[in-house]
Amino acid sequence: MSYIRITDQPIKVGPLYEKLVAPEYGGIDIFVGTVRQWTGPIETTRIEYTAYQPMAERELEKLAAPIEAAGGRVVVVHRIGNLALTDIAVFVGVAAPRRAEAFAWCRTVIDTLKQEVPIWKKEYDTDKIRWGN
Amino acid sequence: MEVTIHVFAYLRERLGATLTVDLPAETTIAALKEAVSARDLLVADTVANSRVAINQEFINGPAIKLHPSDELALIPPVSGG
Repeated sequence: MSYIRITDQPIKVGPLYEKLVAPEYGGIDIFVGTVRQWTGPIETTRIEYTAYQPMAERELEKLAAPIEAAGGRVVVVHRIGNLALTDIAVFVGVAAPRRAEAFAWCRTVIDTLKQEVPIWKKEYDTDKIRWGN
Repeated sequence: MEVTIHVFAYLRERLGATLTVDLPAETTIAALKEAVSARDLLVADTVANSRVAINQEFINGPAIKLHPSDELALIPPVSGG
Protein backbone atom coordinates (compact mmCIF):
# COMPACT_ATOMS: atom_id res chain seq x y z
CA MET A 1 0.00 0.00 0.00
CA SER A 2 1.31 3.41 -0.94
CA TYR A 3 1.56 6.18 1.64
CA ILE A 4 0.73 9.62 0.20
CA ARG A 5 0.38 12.78 2.25
CA ILE A 6 0.36 16.53 1.87
CA THR A 7 1.24 17.95 5.27
CA ASP A 8 1.96 21.22 7.03
CA GLN A 9 4.15 19.40 9.54
CA PRO A 10 7.95 18.97 9.26
CA ILE A 11 8.95 15.83 7.32
CA LYS A 12 10.96 13.27 9.25
CA VAL A 13 12.90 10.84 7.04
CA GLY A 14 13.31 8.02 9.55
CA PRO A 15 9.66 7.02 10.04
CA LEU A 16 9.01 7.29 6.27
CA TYR A 17 12.01 5.09 5.50
CA GLU A 18 10.62 2.52 7.94
CA LYS A 19 7.44 2.32 5.82
CA LEU A 20 9.55 1.09 2.88
CA VAL A 21 11.25 -1.74 4.70
CA ALA A 22 9.93 -5.24 3.97
CA PRO A 23 11.47 -8.65 3.22
CA GLU A 24 10.38 -8.63 -0.42
CA TYR A 25 12.40 -5.53 -1.23
CA GLY A 26 16.13 -5.48 -1.91
CA GLY A 27 16.42 -1.85 -2.97
CA ILE A 28 15.05 1.36 -1.49
CA ASP A 29 15.64 4.60 -3.36
CA ILE A 30 14.87 7.85 -1.57
CA PHE A 31 14.81 11.37 -2.93
CA VAL A 32 14.64 14.21 -0.43
CA GLY A 33 14.06 17.71 -1.81
CA THR A 34 15.20 20.59 0.41
CA VAL A 35 15.03 24.37 0.29
CA ARG A 36 18.15 25.66 -1.50
CA GLN A 37 19.72 29.04 -0.78
CA TRP A 38 21.32 29.86 -4.11
CA THR A 39 19.95 29.54 -7.66
CA GLY A 40 22.78 31.07 -9.65
CA PRO A 41 22.97 34.69 -8.47
CA ILE A 42 19.54 34.57 -6.80
CA GLU A 43 19.52 34.15 -3.04
CA THR A 44 16.41 32.54 -1.59
CA THR A 45 15.51 33.13 2.05
CA ARG A 46 12.42 30.92 2.38
CA ILE A 47 9.73 29.18 0.31
CA GLU A 48 6.01 29.03 0.88
CA TYR A 49 4.28 25.97 -0.60
CA THR A 50 0.58 25.66 -1.29
CA ALA A 51 -1.44 22.85 -2.85
CA TYR A 52 -4.79 21.89 -4.25
CA GLN A 53 -4.60 19.27 -1.59
CA PRO A 54 -7.24 16.66 -2.51
CA MET A 55 -6.27 16.72 -6.19
CA ALA A 56 -2.55 16.64 -5.36
CA GLU A 57 -3.08 13.52 -3.27
CA ARG A 58 -5.17 11.94 -6.03
CA GLU A 59 -2.53 12.67 -8.66
CA LEU A 60 0.14 11.16 -6.43
CA GLU A 61 -2.02 8.07 -5.86
CA LYS A 62 -2.32 7.74 -9.64
CA LEU A 63 1.46 7.95 -9.95
CA ALA A 64 1.95 5.31 -7.29
CA ALA A 65 -0.66 2.86 -8.59
CA PRO A 66 1.26 1.33 -11.53
CA ILE A 67 4.42 1.04 -9.42
CA GLU A 68 2.53 -0.70 -6.65
CA ALA A 69 0.87 -2.96 -9.24
CA ALA A 70 4.34 -3.88 -10.53
CA GLY A 71 5.46 -4.96 -7.06
CA GLY A 72 6.96 -1.78 -5.61
CA ARG A 73 6.01 0.39 -2.67
CA VAL A 74 5.70 4.16 -2.85
CA VAL A 75 5.91 6.73 -0.06
CA VAL A 76 5.46 10.41 -0.97
CA VAL A 77 5.07 13.25 1.49
CA HIS A 78 5.05 16.89 0.37
CA ARG A 79 5.09 19.70 2.87
CA ILE A 80 3.07 22.90 2.52
CA GLY A 81 3.36 26.17 4.43
CA ASN A 82 6.45 28.22 5.18
CA LEU A 83 9.77 26.44 4.84
CA ALA A 84 13.20 27.72 5.83
CA LEU A 85 16.52 26.97 4.13
CA THR A 86 17.41 23.25 4.39
CA ASP A 87 13.87 22.25 5.38
CA ILE A 88 12.57 19.15 3.60
CA ALA A 89 9.92 20.05 1.01
CA VAL A 90 9.36 16.58 -0.38
CA PHE A 91 10.16 12.97 0.43
CA VAL A 92 9.86 10.36 -2.33
CA GLY A 93 10.73 6.80 -1.43
CA VAL A 94 10.33 3.72 -3.58
CA ALA A 95 11.06 0.18 -2.50
CA ALA A 96 11.50 -2.50 -5.16
CA PRO A 97 12.83 -6.04 -5.36
CA ARG A 98 15.96 -4.77 -7.16
CA ARG A 99 17.83 -1.50 -7.47
CA ALA A 100 17.18 -0.81 -11.15
CA GLU A 101 13.44 -0.51 -10.57
CA ALA A 102 13.91 1.38 -7.31
CA PHE A 103 16.02 4.06 -9.03
CA ALA A 104 13.80 4.28 -12.12
CA TRP A 105 10.50 4.42 -10.26
CA CYS A 106 11.72 6.97 -7.73
CA ARG A 107 12.89 9.22 -10.54
CA THR A 108 9.60 8.84 -12.38
CA VAL A 109 7.66 9.83 -9.27
CA ILE A 110 9.65 12.99 -8.48
CA ASP A 111 9.94 14.07 -12.13
CA THR A 112 6.20 13.61 -12.73
CA LEU A 113 5.35 15.26 -9.41
CA LYS A 114 7.18 18.37 -10.57
CA GLN A 115 5.25 18.42 -13.86
CA GLU A 116 1.76 17.30 -12.93
CA VAL A 117 0.89 17.52 -9.25
CA PRO A 118 -0.93 20.72 -8.23
CA ILE A 119 1.54 22.12 -5.71
CA TRP A 120 3.09 25.57 -5.97
CA LYS A 121 6.07 27.31 -4.48
CA LYS A 122 6.41 31.00 -3.80
CA GLU A 123 10.07 31.84 -3.40
CA TYR A 124 11.14 34.73 -1.21
CA ASP A 125 14.49 36.02 -2.41
CA THR A 126 16.61 38.72 -0.83
CA ASP A 127 15.35 41.26 -3.39
CA LYS A 128 12.03 39.93 -4.74
CA ILE A 129 9.28 37.33 -4.59
CA ARG A 130 8.96 34.72 -7.35
CA TRP A 131 6.31 32.16 -8.15
CA GLY A 132 8.03 28.92 -9.16
CA ASN A 133 8.25 28.51 -12.95
CA MET B 1 -25.24 28.86 -15.50
CA GLU B 2 -23.24 30.21 -12.58
CA VAL B 3 -20.19 28.12 -11.78
CA THR B 4 -17.54 28.50 -9.09
CA ILE B 5 -13.92 28.16 -10.13
CA HIS B 6 -11.18 27.40 -7.63
CA VAL B 7 -7.89 29.14 -8.35
CA PHE B 8 -4.42 28.78 -6.89
CA ALA B 9 -0.99 30.32 -6.41
CA TYR B 10 -0.60 33.69 -8.17
CA LEU B 11 -4.19 33.51 -9.42
CA ARG B 12 -5.42 33.11 -5.85
CA GLU B 13 -3.48 36.18 -4.73
CA ARG B 14 -5.06 38.25 -7.47
CA LEU B 15 -8.58 36.81 -7.55
CA GLY B 16 -9.23 35.17 -4.18
CA ALA B 17 -9.67 31.43 -3.57
CA THR B 18 -12.74 31.12 -5.79
CA LEU B 19 -14.66 33.18 -8.28
CA THR B 20 -18.10 32.75 -9.74
CA VAL B 21 -18.61 33.19 -13.46
CA ASP B 22 -21.54 32.77 -15.80
CA LEU B 23 -20.98 30.16 -18.50
CA PRO B 24 -23.24 27.97 -20.64
CA ALA B 25 -23.37 24.29 -19.65
CA GLU B 26 -21.73 23.37 -22.93
CA THR B 27 -18.70 25.59 -23.28
CA THR B 28 -14.98 25.51 -23.96
CA ILE B 29 -11.79 25.80 -21.98
CA ALA B 30 -11.03 28.99 -23.92
CA ALA B 31 -14.35 30.55 -22.84
CA LEU B 32 -13.76 29.59 -19.22
CA LYS B 33 -10.28 31.13 -19.31
CA GLU B 34 -11.61 34.26 -20.95
CA ALA B 35 -14.22 34.65 -18.20
CA VAL B 36 -11.47 34.49 -15.57
CA SER B 37 -9.05 36.78 -17.42
CA ALA B 38 -11.78 39.38 -17.77
CA ARG B 39 -11.64 39.88 -13.99
CA ASP B 40 -8.07 41.13 -13.86
CA LEU B 41 -5.80 42.02 -16.76
CA LEU B 42 -2.71 41.02 -14.80
CA VAL B 43 -3.72 37.34 -14.69
CA ALA B 44 -4.08 36.85 -18.46
CA ASP B 45 -0.65 35.29 -19.02
CA THR B 46 -0.95 32.91 -16.09
CA VAL B 47 -4.51 31.96 -17.05
CA ALA B 48 -3.37 31.25 -20.62
CA ASN B 49 -0.76 28.83 -19.26
CA SER B 50 -3.14 27.18 -16.78
CA ARG B 51 -4.89 23.84 -17.11
CA VAL B 52 -8.51 23.13 -16.23
CA ALA B 53 -9.55 20.42 -13.79
CA ILE B 54 -13.10 19.22 -13.32
CA ASN B 55 -13.75 17.19 -10.18
CA GLN B 56 -10.00 17.03 -9.56
CA GLU B 57 -9.17 15.55 -12.98
CA PHE B 58 -7.27 17.43 -15.69
CA ILE B 59 -9.47 18.07 -18.73
CA ASN B 60 -7.98 18.60 -22.17
CA GLY B 61 -11.04 19.99 -23.93
CA PRO B 62 -11.36 22.04 -26.01
CA ALA B 63 -15.09 21.44 -25.38
CA ILE B 64 -16.31 20.95 -21.81
CA LYS B 65 -19.69 20.14 -20.34
CA LEU B 66 -20.44 21.64 -16.95
CA HIS B 67 -22.83 20.43 -14.26
CA PRO B 68 -23.93 22.55 -11.29
CA SER B 69 -22.26 20.17 -8.84
CA ASP B 70 -18.89 20.12 -10.64
CA GLU B 71 -15.76 21.19 -8.80
CA LEU B 72 -14.00 23.41 -11.32
CA ALA B 73 -10.40 24.50 -10.93
CA LEU B 74 -7.86 26.48 -12.88
CA ILE B 75 -4.40 25.03 -12.31
CA PRO B 76 -1.47 27.38 -13.01
CA PRO B 77 1.88 25.81 -13.96
CA VAL B 78 2.85 23.65 -10.99
CA SER B 79 6.13 24.00 -9.10
CA GLY B 80 6.18 21.44 -6.32
CA GLY B 81 9.18 19.40 -5.26
